[in-house]
Amino acid sequence: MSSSGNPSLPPYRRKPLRPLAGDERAALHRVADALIPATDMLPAPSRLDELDRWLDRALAAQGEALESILAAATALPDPGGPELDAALRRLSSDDPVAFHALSSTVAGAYLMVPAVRRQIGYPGQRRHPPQFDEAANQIMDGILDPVLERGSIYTPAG
Amino acid sequence: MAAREPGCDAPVVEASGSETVVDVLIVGAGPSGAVVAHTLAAAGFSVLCLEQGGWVNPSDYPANNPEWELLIQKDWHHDPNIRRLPSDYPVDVTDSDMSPVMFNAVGGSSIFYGAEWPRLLPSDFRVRSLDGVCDDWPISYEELKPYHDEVDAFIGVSGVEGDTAYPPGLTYPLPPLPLGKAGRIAAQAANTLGWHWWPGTNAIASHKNRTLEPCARWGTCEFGCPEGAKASFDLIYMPQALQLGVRLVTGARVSRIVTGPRGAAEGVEWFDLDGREHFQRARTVVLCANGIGTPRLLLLSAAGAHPDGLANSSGLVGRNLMLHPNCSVAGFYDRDLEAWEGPAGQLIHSMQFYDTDPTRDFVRGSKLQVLPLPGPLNALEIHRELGFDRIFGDGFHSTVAGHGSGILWAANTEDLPELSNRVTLSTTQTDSHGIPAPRVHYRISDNTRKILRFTLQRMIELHEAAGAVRTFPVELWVDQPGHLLGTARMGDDPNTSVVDAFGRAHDVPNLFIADGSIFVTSGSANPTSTITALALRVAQGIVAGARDQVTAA
Repeated sequence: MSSSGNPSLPPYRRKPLRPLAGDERAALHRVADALIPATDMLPAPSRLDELDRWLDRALAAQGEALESILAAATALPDPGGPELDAALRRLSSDDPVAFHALSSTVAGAYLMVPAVRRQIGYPGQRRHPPQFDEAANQIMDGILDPVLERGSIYTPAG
Repeated sequence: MAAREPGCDAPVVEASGSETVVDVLIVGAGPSGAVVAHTLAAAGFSVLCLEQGGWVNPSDYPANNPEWELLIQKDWHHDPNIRRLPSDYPVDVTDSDMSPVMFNAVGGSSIFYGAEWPRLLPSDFRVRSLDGVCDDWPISYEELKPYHDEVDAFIGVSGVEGDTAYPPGLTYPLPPLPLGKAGRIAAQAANTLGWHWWPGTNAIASHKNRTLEPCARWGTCEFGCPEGAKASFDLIYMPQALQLGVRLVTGARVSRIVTGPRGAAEGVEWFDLDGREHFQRARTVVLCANGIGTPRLLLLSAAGAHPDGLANSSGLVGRNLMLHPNCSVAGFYDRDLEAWEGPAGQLIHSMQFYDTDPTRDFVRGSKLQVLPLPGPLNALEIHRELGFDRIFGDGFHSTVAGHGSGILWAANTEDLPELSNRVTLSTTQTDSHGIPAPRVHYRISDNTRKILRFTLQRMIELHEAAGAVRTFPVELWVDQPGHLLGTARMGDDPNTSVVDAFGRAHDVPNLFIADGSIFVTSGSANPTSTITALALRVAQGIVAGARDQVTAA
């Protein structure tokens, strides 16, 4: 440990610890498409223009787990289809830790794509200060009356 | 080495020199350390605070980034054994049912707490008298109340006066935060069942207060508040303490308290970030290193005159560890509840099942609270237990589409003190300086198991009364909460306690403890409110007794 670093602050990365090879990115696309099908409103994940940007961000958040995630993805059958679907099911039951890391990464990346967020109605965590009278309006309409009518419930302790 | 105050470029702290004797040395810059530092500096003491972590700015927190839901699974995880930052030390949990969590930084675990701010109830101080188990505290609810009031006024607690679960006279300096859709639905369910609830009391500023900004409802309080509205003690108390002249050294890991021939503390040995060892002399030492770190340090300080650890003639250092095992029920509804909206923070709380009820098969009880459930990936994770087909393939979109419709009922259960639940020193794990890690020996008692099961059923009933479509009960959160209590309990009898009613070690006249270690029983209220009130009382006791204070010199 060096005095040059803040001991309470993890490194923040926008890119994975190393660039992905073409076959690795393709494997992640296949996994994403297998786990997350297209809908009437959204194409398959691999068809989303911005997926790769957010895949990189998701993999960056995984830090040193990058290699194990890529290893799990590239070990799955190519191409996709029923064989890949069956392999993912086996992975989820045989090695739930590896499946969790892989599936959280691709799902997390997909759910960061702005078009997806708009579609599911997720604004992201952000500032949304309450109106001046919002709290008062939410408790002054009689909702507390039943509690007040029952009176004190504490146990006196002398 | 230099630490910086948030937003300030100038170094405000330099490493201490062994030639300087300080009036008071504080170990740990969390909530209790910040309160003690401020109180003693205001009284004119020279104060040095040693903190193994560094400063974390609100702009550093994961919620500033869209991938926050992934960051909290790893680099920003609440479990130090997963997070493994340089400021962390391993916690050996090979003999434990739970993994105690903490955050090591200026502000301590308040960096990650939800800032739920209930006080203990009067009954908590008289468990022996009322329930015939454990021990009474050497102080009462009424004795502690003025200290609570002073801390609450300083940090700006938001709440509604008149909570029927408490004696009259409980008021808060700031108005409450909104209940939100989730809080109102949960409150109406409690009304349907005829149960107590109250708008959440939170150490989150509803209006600008000193160095705290008004809450902007980011909804990620338990992973750091990007707004700087939550009363983490790096943002309140510690800044004011620094202005009063407190010297704070970050990256300073204390390894041992050194005592002199008369048994008084002479100072502490500590390591800096580069592994250099230092010795700092002090007239008084105050431990504020949490319910795991404090007993660890006392046990590490064993010497010829006290081979079983410092301040441990009772044999109780490290024993009676209480962790408030949590249970929860997440519920999903058929309407949008804007689950991404904070605070989180408690929207409401319920003390309906807090005290002992002789019709139940356990003593004491639990405190319930409602929180929002932000984030689509988090919603997906909650649904994982339903299996592959429910959350992937065709099930994926319906699951994430409901991300805004979740409500979490969660509860702290009262953990009774047991000698066998304890902190010792690990023989197999060490921190980055080679110092033995704490080893946690902890088994959940039958009484606590019964409380967990009982409370879980009540929370399911609350969701049912509110019309939840799906519920996800979790009988035990293995790695929550970070309520680390009881390992250096207070009391009047040196044979049955480690410190007296003012936190002074029975065995060491100038050694004080001011963190959650000194709890006698745990209650089930979130403890930081009580920890800080006790810390203020300990600090004011040091001030009052300074004239007669015995020191190593």
